[in-house]
Amino acid sequence: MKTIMIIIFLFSSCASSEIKIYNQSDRFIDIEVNRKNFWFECSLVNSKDKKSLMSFYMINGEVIHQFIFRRLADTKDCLKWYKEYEKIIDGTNKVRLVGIDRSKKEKNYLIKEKVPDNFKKPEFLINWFFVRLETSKGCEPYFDNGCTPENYWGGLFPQN
Amino acid sequence: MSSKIKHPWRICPIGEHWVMNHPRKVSVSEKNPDGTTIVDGHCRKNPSQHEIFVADEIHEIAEKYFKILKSKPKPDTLGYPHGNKFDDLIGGWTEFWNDIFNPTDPLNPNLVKALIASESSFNINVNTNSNIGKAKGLIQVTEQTRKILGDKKGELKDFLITLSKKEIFDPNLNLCAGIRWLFHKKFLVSHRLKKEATWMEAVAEYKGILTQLGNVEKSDRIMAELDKLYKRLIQK
Repeated sequence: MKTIMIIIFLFSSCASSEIKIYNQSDRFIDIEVNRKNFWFECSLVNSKDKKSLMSFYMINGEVIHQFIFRRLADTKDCLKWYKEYEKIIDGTNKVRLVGIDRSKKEKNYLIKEKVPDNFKKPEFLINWFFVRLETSKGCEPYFDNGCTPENYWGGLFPQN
Repeated sequence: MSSKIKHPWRICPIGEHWVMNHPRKVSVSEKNPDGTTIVDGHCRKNPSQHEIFVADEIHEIAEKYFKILKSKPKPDTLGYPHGNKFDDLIGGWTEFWNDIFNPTDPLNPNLVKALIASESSFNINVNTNSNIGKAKGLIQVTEQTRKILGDKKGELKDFLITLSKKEIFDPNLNLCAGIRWLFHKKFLVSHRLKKEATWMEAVAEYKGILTQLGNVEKSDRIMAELDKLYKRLIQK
């Protein structure tokens, strides 16, 4: 029994260290996960128009948090940004994302082949507008003041 | 779509634009010991046949008329710290451009407010990160749009807006330009679809996602957020 308790304790402490939520409301999230629970892509949304949507994903238990840009972009631009984000993500252990304006929790629809296996398991998906991505190597915002929270809405957070 | 009748809020006659009080260098004299004089505000003729709006007139109109508007968006912050801060400007410029273009279905200021929420979350002085693009201000007017709005030989037939790269960040100028651009988008989509476009279609075109709507889940997702906010605003 004691062994089982120790295993449960170790498992739970290990699991909790994988996710750190700095701030969360129905309208706002600031969350950090281990690199293995993070994934990002330029979602090709229209091959004819060559348009893509920059998208970041994080697993938090049974939920995937998806962070998207506010507008579509030319695929070539999206791939350029991908490389910029890659520079501050590669070689780091943790990735922190901030998003606002969540959608309702819905069935995980990430079923495409290129989706990493661990992102197929969570049952639900919540969508946010991307605010910024931060790692130990740097920070990349959507808006140019997005990495200085004191300048972001004067340091206030959106409420419900 | 439009008729050239002087809008009652406009300061100058058709074919002229307003220039605010400004200093002018003159010879040093007893009257002007520092070598400058103040030129009073006045109307200046537009050499082209276009109606042109400049920052000075946009500021004058907003200051003089936007406190006594017929309709403003619902005073709901939508949860954003600055959510109600721009209601006068939203109501004012929506009313102004509705008067100018006189559409069958007037633009609802609540839709403009929802658009701003989805574009910038009422985050003032925002510029998309230079790696991302060059959309600026509350309603995220792109650099390309700013140029088109002021281009006398460009795609706008009339009612041009000439703003500098710096001026486009000003919430008043940004909204005047962005809402004018939204009307242009409705005009373009109506021609393309060969029917009167809805304002939602115009907004989707403004965001560059109209052709993907209904076919691409991610485009629908971007519009769904705006739709959610709009419904909240028009709910009684």
